[in-house]
Amino acid sequence: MSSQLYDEDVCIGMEVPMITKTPTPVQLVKWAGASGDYNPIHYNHFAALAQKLPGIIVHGKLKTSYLCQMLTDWIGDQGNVVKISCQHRGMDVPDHQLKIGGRVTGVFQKDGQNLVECEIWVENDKGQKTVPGAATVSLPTRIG
Amino acid sequence: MALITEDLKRQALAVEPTSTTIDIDKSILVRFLDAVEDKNPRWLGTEGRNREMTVTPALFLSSFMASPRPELPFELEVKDVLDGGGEWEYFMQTRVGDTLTAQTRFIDVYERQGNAGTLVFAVRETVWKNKKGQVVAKAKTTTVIR
Repeated sequence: MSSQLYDEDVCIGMEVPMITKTPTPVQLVKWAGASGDYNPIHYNHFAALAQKLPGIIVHGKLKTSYLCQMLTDWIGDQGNVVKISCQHRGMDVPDHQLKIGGRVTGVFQKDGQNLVECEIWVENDKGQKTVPGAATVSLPTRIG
Repeated sequence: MALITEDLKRQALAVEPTSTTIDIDKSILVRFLDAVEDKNPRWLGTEGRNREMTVTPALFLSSFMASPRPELPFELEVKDVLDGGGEWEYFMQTRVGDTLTAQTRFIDVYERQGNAGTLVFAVRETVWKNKKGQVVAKAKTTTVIR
């Protein structure tokens, strides 16, 4: 968790502080219960194999939630996520580390809001960006 | 030959939207944060801090936050149904104790040729409104059928 981030602190090219996650099968079961996504390919090895998958796979929306967490950890209590989008381009398996990263691509004002655009991604331990995306966050200014 | 004809697309877009009402209670949020391992005190507050519990925008990714999904009104030969991703927009903060109405409808159905053959993309939009009828958030989510 970070302290408050202000609009003046941000510039194009700045990295969003990375977080890492290593989701375990237990976490996938917790996510199934918390999200209501009970597709057995996420917790039943044989169901996953029957779908020609390498084994159980991490839920796409759990990975998107990690992207949200990275952003909200970064922007502090007074910042808000305005928009987030992503594509699920690759599958990830549990017990492998995921790097959740981002970079600032734009800083601008609109409708009285100080907005920051970022490219964001989930990268697996083979260096593949399996979930690329984009986000817009709003930030307070130091002047108020 | 195209799988998704103009007529099938029209049929999909004419499917009645589905709707549901969701009470945002603390237990939903606690389970969600535990599953993600998100320990940010912003959401639940810290002991001794008297504050409203705001809801992480990630909660809107949960299928508990969507109305039952409308289904395509025609049969396709399906081997896999995959989550293709989506886009979420937030207009107002949501707090524990809020009651939201979620409405979901098809907004597009199209096909593309992939390495493994024809892929069908079904795009649904969900709009969440609060008790005052204000739009709190919107999502466009894509299901890939192959």
